[in-house]
Amino acid sequence: MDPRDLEVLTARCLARLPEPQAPPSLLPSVMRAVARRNARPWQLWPWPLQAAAAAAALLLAWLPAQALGRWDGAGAPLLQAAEFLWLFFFEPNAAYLAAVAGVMGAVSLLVCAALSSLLREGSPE
Amino acid sequence: MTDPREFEEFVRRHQNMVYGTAVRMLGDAAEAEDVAQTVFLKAYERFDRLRGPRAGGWLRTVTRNLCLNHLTRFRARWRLFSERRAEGRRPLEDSIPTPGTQVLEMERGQRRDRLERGLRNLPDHQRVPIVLFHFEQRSYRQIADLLRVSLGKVKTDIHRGRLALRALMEAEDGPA
Repeated sequence: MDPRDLEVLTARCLARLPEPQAPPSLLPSVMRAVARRNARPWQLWPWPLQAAAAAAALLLAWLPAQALGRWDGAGAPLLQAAEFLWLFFFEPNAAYLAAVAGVMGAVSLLVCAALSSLLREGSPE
Repeated sequence: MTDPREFEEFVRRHQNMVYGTAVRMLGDAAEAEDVAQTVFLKAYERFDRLRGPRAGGWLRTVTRNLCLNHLTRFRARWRLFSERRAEGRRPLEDSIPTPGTQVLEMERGQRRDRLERGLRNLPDHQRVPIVLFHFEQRSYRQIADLLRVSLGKVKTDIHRGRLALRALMEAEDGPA
């Protein structure tokens, strides 16, 4: 059969197909998802407002931290323990820890790149 | 604030179009339902701007794009799924309308069901361009751009898909 005739025949047959009916479960599931979304209204805010809210939240977390930094908590046992850990474990080994983190990051990048190229082999021509 | 009842009416009005587009693009009823839900959630987020007559066009475009994303991102990759047959899918009969009660209408309905089923069971690399061409009125060039494949591949895949559909119909009815 000529490709043009086949195109016309297919178009005629497909045009007669009725529109598939949505399953009865679709509407309730959409409305449930909408209700869940409404329970977290910040997801519906415009992105500038979301960014402003995130900045405000960060500020709220930062201000007490600043206030705590000015507080003379030399006597507090928790701060003493933290100071001890920093001075005797983290600070002397900072270079070593940074190197380990760097190597782990590089290995992760290599693994991701390898995976990506593997997947790309199956991508469209 | 969006009135839920107004949005429900909106979903009711457009659900067949959105679901129909998705199920033909994806060939899978469950995946089509998931995509349709995502489309309506996106619509809900911008419902204030969607009340006009252009809502249908917007919904159709978003559905098509989400389906293409779904096909490329969640079903392995193009070459992989283009070689894959519909396996382990939910039976499609459930979502196909039941034909009318009169005998003639029933025969016509059964024929349509077979064609619909045949279309949905085509391999993705044939079904998707056929749906874009025949139901979305896209040109070969536009389809090639959308699917990021060559023009020649689109033409070949569509032609093979049409041949497969014709063979399916002839096998059951005798030559048309």
